[in-house]
Parts: sequence; structure tokens; C-alpha cells
Amino acid sequence: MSLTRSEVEHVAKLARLRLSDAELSSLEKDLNAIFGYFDQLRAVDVTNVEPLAHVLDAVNVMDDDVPHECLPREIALRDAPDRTEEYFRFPRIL
Amino acid sequence: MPLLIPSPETLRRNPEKLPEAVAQSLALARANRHLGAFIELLDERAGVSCGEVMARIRKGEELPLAGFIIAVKDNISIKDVPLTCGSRILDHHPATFTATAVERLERAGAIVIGKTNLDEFAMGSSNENSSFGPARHPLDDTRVPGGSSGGSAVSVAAGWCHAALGSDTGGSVRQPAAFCGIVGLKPTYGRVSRYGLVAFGSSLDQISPFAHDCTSAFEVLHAMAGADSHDATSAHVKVPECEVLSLPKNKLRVGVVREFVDHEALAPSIRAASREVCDALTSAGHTLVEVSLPTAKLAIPVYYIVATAEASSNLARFDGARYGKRSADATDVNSVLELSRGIGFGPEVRRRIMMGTYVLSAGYFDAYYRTAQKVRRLIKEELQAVLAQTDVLLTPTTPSTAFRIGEKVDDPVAMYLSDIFTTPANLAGLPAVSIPWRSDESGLPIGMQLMANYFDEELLLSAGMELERLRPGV
Repeated sequence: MSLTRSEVEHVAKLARLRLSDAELSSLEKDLNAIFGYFDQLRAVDVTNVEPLAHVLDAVNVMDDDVPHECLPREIALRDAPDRTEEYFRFPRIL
Repeated sequence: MPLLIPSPETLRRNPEKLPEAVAQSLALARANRHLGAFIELLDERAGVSCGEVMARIRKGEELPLAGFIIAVKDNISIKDVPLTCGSRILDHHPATFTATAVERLERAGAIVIGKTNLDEFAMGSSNENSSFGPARHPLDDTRVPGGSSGGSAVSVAAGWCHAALGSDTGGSVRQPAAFCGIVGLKPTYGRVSRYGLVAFGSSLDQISPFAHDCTSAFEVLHAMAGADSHDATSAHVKVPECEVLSLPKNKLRVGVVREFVDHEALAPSIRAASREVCDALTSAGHTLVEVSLPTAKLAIPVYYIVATAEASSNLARFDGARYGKRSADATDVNSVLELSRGIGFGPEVRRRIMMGTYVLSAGYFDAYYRTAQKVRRLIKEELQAVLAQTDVLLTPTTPSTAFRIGEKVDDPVAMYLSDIFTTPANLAGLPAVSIPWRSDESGLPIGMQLMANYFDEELLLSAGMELERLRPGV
């Protein structure tokens, strides 16, 4: 299958990436080449194969419910692009 | 290339020589700045660590890594040291805590001299995707050192450090180790805590050491391995007591992967080297078994679908809200996100986020992501089946030796194919190591890869030690 220019624009929007026209054009070319190569996967018979998400048979590990020292507020805020005294500042959402 | 600083054994015996060795290591890195190995050198911090290590030795403490001078890839956190991930989006963000792996190595006596260059967010096979410029091959600066952990590989291969940490998601430690002629070990998935490693592909990533030989790779692994309450994916599997690596106790059954040693993309010199390794193993009394991994040929599409899907999700956290760069032109929520990410990420990271977003998007999820996960299971089962009949598997590490800077930048598919032999171990979660064998006709190193069963790094590295013993003399 091949990606159209408008699909590439849609994916960029989903990914929250503002891209130039030139980059969208080169991505259209690259992604078609890449996924063209990936299409060889379609030839594999995967009937009745369960998808694999995690390689080890890991189970959830529960920590004891005790308070630990946590990141001090001032350290968490020290690299904020914008902040008030105690909070990260961000353009209003609602 | 020879080690240009005293060996860890020498420094352990003469701890008073440590400050001079650390200074020497820093001076070498500085004098060779054109190789682009380091993003930041940590003179002051290394000096403090050095004093602490000497004091602990004087007190009679047993430090398994005393005398080790190491470098750390700059996608691994060290408290208060800028963490760049080779990206502009983090804008020299000072890390708020130290990665467990680094903390354990320092506790064992290692001294960190700096943070090394990498492909942005560990996405690349050449170290050309760093926003700090490329790292260069120590034997030929027109060539790549491999990637994504290129800077760490250079720091060890050039002889300035005893070991270095990288991260291996699809070969990012084994491939540069092969290109630079050193040992690169990817431990079993979960063997080493990833707390403090910036996530790329969470079902694949492992913090992985570079070293000059298997013995020191094992020492470094031993010091940092084991469960960590800060990383729920770290495995609760006992770390072997044995701290000294020895040659294999029994003759090995070595599986030779037919599809890989006969791969059509393999450089003739590497094909010849693979044959020599097989002959040397046979002469030494080991048994070779030809094995077939028909599905592992598809590792590249499976890997790039899974890894980019996970990356697009992991990298969603870089949003210009809490740290790093925020676009000055942004006015509302969407423009903060879109502009900060559009300018903050470099082209390869943007491309991979696009790939990952696409394979997870409605209408394509089943065709790509779900299918890749299913083929991933087939690859894992295939590897487990051949490892049930053998001790280790042998393949070349890379299809070619170090290529020229710029040679593959315009052809993403060709670049992705550099990982063709390394990605199966990540997809299956198995431990794998690249061992330098010899050089090709241009003097560029050739690496051979060994894979072993889950959590059997000891057998893996002792088999590696056997390859080191059989290696043609230099």
C-alpha cells in the first residue's frame, strides 16, 4: 500500500509535529520506500500466532506501600520553560 | 588500538596513580575533539569521584571496579549533569537523578569522565544523527564509528577509557563495537535496570557495556546487573556469584546461522572471516551445527515497526511543558506542542515518530503493528528452538565494516539494513555480544556476534573469550 500526501499530513498532525512542505514531500517519498520494503511481512503466515508484547514471562511486581523521599518541587521546576512560583505555566487548555 | 592509560589492574595496585590516569584520559579526549566522541567532559566530577575511590581503597574496601575509567552515553542520566540525548529538544536539561546502572558502577569504584555522543535519542546506526555533529571512527575520521552509541565506542576503542556504557535497542552497542574493534555486550532484556535510561523502544532497550575484552565486559556487567525497585521491567533473576570469567569448561556446540553467514549483503571480507572463525572453532575441538532461522530474515521490518511504534509513544513526553525547549513562537496548546517538537527533534527522529505514529494509526494498526508483533513471536520461538540444541549462535555482527560518513544518509532503508544481524537478539530479548576478530584489507575491524540463552551471559562471554583466544595474532 502507498501513502498519499494527505495521509502524511494527517500522521504529522497525530504526531504533533509541525513540518515544512519540503519535509512533508521528502517524508512522503521516504515512508513509501520504507513501508514498501516492510510489505514483505505480508507474505508470512501468522494465522493463530499470538502477538508478542513482552519477551520475558514477567509478572507485575508490587512495592510495599510505604512513603519514599520524592523529587523536591524546586528540582522538578528548575528546568521549566515557563513557571509560576509553584507550578509549570502552559497556555490555557480550556 | 592500544590502551593509552594504565590498566585497571595497575591502578588497583597503585591507587595513587589514579588522579594522573583520570587527567590523562580527559586530556586524550580533549586532544582528539575532532573525533566528536564526547558531548561533555566532567573534569570536576571525575576529580571528586577519584578522591572518593582512593579514600575507600585506603580504608580497605574491596571495590570490584577500582581503577576503571569509564564514559557514559548521553541518554543515561547522571544527577545535575546536562542530559542531551544528542537532541536540541532537551536543551541541556540537568538530570534530576542518577541512573541505577551508573550508580552501581560508581559504587563498585568506576570513575566517569564524561557523557558521550550518540545518534539523537539513540536513533541511528552511524552517529550522524546527533545535533552535536557526528562522532568519527578512530582509525579513519572520514568513516562512521557506528551508532547509535558511537561516542562511547570511540572512547574505548581509541584507548582513553577502560569501558563505556551505551544502550542497545537494535544493535546500537554491538554494531559500533564491531566497527571499532572492541567488545560490545547486550545483556538479556531485563538484566540491567533501565532507570535513568531515556526510553526509546521499551520492549527492546538494554543498557549495554563496551570494553576491551570479554573479561572486563563481564566485570562491568556483574557490577550493574540485577533487579531494581525503580525499574519494574528489571528481571528478578539471580546474578551469578562468579566474578571472574573463565574459558568454557566444556567443548561448545556452536550454531552457525546459515541465512546470516551466507547473506547476499555480506561483504566478502566478512564472509571469509566467518569461515575462518568456524574453522578455528572446529580445530579447537568445538562442534559446529548448521542452523536455519528463516523468519529472522524479516527482523528489520519487524524491528523498525515495533521500535518506532514504541518510540512515537515514548517521545510524546517531549512536549515543551516541563523541561527542555519550548518554541518562542507558540501561542496556544497545539502550537506549543507542534512547534517545540518540530524544531526540537532532528530529521531522523521526526521520521521515526512519523513511522511509529503511522503503524499505530487507525486502519494500519493490524496490517503493520499487530502483524509485526506476531512475526516477532515467530522469530523468538525460532531462536529458542535452535538455542535448545546449541550453546551459542554465531553470526557476523554487521554486513559491512565501517562505512563512510554521508554514504547512507539519503537512503534510510540501506541505513536500517546495517542492523540486519543484530536486531533478532533484541526482538527475542536474548543476550548477544560482538567480539573483534581481525581487520579487513583496509585495516577496518570485523566483528563476530555470539548469542546465548536468556540470562546466560556467563556462557556467552566465556565463548567470547574462546574466540579471543583463537583470534589470529596481531
